[in-house]
Amino acid sequence: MTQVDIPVESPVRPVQHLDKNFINHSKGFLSWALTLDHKRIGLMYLVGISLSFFLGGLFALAIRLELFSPGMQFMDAATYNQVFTLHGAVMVFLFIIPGIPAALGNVVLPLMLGAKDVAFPRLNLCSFYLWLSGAAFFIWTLFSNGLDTGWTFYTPYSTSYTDTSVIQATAGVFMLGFSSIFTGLNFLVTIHKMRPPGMTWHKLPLFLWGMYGTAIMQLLATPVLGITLLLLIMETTLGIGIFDPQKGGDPVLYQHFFWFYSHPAVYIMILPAMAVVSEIIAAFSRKHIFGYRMIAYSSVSIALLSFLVWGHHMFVSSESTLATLIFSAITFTIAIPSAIKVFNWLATLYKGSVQLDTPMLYALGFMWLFTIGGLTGLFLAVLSTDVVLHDTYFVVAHFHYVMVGGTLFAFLGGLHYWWPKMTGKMYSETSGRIAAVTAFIGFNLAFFPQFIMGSRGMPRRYADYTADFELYHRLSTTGTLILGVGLALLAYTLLRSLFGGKKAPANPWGSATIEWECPSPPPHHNFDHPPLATDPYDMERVEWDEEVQGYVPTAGHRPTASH
Amino acid sequence: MKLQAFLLTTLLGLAGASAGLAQDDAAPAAPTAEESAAADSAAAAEDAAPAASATIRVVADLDVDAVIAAFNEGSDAPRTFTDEERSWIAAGVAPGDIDKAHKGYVAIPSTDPNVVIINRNGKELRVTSNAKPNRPPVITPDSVHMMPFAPEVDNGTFWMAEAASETAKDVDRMFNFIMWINYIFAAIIGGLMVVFCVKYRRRPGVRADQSITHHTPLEITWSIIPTILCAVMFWGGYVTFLDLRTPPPDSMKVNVTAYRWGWNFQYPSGVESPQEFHVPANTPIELVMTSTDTLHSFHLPAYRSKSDVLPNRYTKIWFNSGEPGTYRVYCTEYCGKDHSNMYAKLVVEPREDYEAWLTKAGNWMVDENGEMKPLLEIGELTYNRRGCKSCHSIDGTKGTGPTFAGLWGLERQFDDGTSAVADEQYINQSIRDPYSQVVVDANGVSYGKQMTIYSPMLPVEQINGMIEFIKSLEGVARKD
Repeated sequence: MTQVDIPVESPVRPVQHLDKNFINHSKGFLSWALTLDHKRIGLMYLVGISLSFFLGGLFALAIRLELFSPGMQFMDAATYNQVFTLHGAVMVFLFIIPGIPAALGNVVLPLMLGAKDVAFPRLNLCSFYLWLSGAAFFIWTLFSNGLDTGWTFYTPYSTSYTDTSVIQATAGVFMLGFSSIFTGLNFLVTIHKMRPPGMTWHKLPLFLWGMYGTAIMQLLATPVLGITLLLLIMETTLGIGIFDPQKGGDPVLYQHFFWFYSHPAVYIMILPAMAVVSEIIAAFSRKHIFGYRMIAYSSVSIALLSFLVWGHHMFVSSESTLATLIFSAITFTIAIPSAIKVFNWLATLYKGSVQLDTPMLYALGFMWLFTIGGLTGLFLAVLSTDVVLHDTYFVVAHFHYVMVGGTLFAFLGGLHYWWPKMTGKMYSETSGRIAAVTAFIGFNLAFFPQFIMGSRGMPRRYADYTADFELYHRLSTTGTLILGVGLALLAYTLLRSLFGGKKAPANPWGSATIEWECPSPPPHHNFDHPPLATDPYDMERVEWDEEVQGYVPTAGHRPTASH
Repeated sequence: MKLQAFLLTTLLGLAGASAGLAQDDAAPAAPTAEESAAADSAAAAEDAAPAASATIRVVADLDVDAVIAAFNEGSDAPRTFTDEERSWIAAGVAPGDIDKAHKGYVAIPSTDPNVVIINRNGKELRVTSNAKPNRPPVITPDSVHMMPFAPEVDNGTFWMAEAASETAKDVDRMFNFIMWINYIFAAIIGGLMVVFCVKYRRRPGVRADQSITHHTPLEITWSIIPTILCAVMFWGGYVTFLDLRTPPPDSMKVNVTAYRWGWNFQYPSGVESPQEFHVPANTPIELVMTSTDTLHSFHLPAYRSKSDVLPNRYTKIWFNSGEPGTYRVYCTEYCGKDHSNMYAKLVVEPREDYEAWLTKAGNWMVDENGEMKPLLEIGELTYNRRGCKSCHSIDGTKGTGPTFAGLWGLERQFDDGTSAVADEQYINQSIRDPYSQVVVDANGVSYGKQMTIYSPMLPVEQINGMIEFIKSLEGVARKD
């Protein structure tokens, strides 16, 4: 029951399935709880963040139902404030930030490198337990006094005016921050030191470039969040007077500290999404990715530029005119690499052989939604229009297009893309596609009206509104319900595949990256021999095989020299 | 509702929630207390006793048919009005405002001068200026500030409400320019995406063209064109931003103080006006703003202007008031429980009207004969004007702060273990230095440091008025 080593020319098909794989390799609770296997840790992360997403989704649903009509429907304003805060905090800290790197990245990254595991498996497990502790603190927050500060914990409200559980929540975020740092550190070292023979930096799959950029940001920005939150806790408990104006502190200083992390964090959320989409678009176009170097370099430049733009969150927070000028200018520079990526994906479709399977539908959905999210970001980078739109529903719609339309759709695309590899099961393509289209329609209906009401003046974080915004809110709530139906169908599709799904072949989509060379699901040790890396987008390297219902290495194919 | 209870109910029955929603929608006839209170923006509350007697006013000598005929004159499609609408016209609503009245943007006067009727979603709300039962209601400037919002609501473009000044129109031009860039790029990207997905869909025997891996001139082109557009947008935005932020030297200065949850406007003469902000037409107005507690943000959508308002710091914005009209002021920086009720009304009016209003606003403690009003009335007005009522109820229910009902003479327990009797000194100290004696509720839980410190803001007459006002509520039952 070991994998057969196959020379490229050999007509023998590679092993598609193994009786003994990482899922049934050992049994018992402890074999999972104490595992050092990156794939198991990834799966545990996947379960955890999916539950967090469900929790955050319930809060989102509650918000939208409450806002269906003017006046209060079934909550009071104080409860509403808690619900929108917890929606944001749970979604950002427990779901979106760890989402792609920790759940998908943990499973895929070592496989893509042909490695046995990440560089520091114990640190990896530690990172998962830190995440779990952070999540436990959030649950504690929920069942003590809740949280009503907004996910940003702005002072002095969070230090002096709220009676909710700010300390528990910030302590939770502090731990989640370390979880994120450990994952980033692990990935950074793994990519540097554990690439297989033949994988030079310019043969690194774009998913890994994205993870690399993300890891830089996680490593360098998250400590600032940790320090900031420690200061916040000290302000609340000891009254050190750094943020509290009554003690001579400065609340705007908190905003600078907070966004110095949280702006890079926006890119910690979106860069992995772009990385996933680059893989999916190439695989389902069966074509070499267009402009490989530009996409790779844009990932790294986004990672570096993301540190220089935090001030655009404070254009109306009494920032000086000079500072707004500088931050506005730098903000535009970060728009260019994002635009370049979109154009490159488009060009990859050109003269491709495009198959609209479920992951591809999510990737195309991502392209459209991220385009809208990015374009509407221009209004917020331009100083004068930002003054109007700041803290209105326009901003809410903008960042949901980027975070949900972008990151969530890419996460779901990646989840469907690597699902056969992770679980060894194929899901129903039909219901997968219906779910993807439903979610896409629901999402647009939910968030597009928010642009209009925002630019017409509707402020964000309002529990109530005047009757003239009612139409937009009703459309938005309807869209949310449709999105919910799509996501429920998605969950049903994937869960059903676990029990009734067909066995997945090693390479169901025809991708040329290394993770598809090991059986589905992979054995405990991934590969018997370190595979030889070639151009990760040389799609002719694999061809369709009717018998295994998947792709196998093309007999006699000689790797083309790329670029 | 407590959060835990809310969580449990959501987890237990999502279906129940949506059924409840459908019910709300289908049967709007029975508003809950919360609903109507929130609907009236906490500025005015439903008042059962006097409101029930108030019916729609009938203006004597008003010929409804003549008014309608004048309205329909010259129109190709003369409008007919239902009996209900005719009764509104008879009460003085202009025929052109009937549609707005149906949406609740225009109030219908009633026989009681202190009660107006608002028709919202087909149900009538009777709104008085005063929530307290069995006392004659007092009209205060902020009591009905939600109603006159009609002017900007139905105007403007698809994207933006109507702009009220030249600077605002410049911002709109910038907005439209970016919007066109958005349209064009979204059309190109979305169009090509669809075309490529259809034209190059997977077909048996057709392989992708593997020779296309990059194209340097193309890639440079699509990097440079967005860069140029970004540079143009950046510069245009910066120039209009400077216009928004640089007041002319001769502008009229108004001090704005934000507190939880309201706005106080202080004019150069020293006159103060809570919640209601009057300015003369066609005048540049500079606002010098600060907050007494948390962060707030002063948002004037019609003038496309906004700035955060911070404690211990002054921020400034300005706008040219332009033609007469009524506009909204929102708070757009989250500031706690009643953030969504922190409105103010901006009234732009001809200079004579403004000056008349200013005189009246400055003399609100004085009656028509120039005599000082009774302390009790001053106290009640203070309660309504100064935002006391957003936290302290007078009907006995518990709010963000303890209720004023039945407070007088009560033994108060503080969170440091001490106690005091609610007398003149207790009330005075609670207003001027609230954190020196933070009260605990019936369960022994502290109300916390929630209260705005009124120490420099409230002159002695108003504190004395508050004392009289709280005394007058001695007999009202507490429900906390």
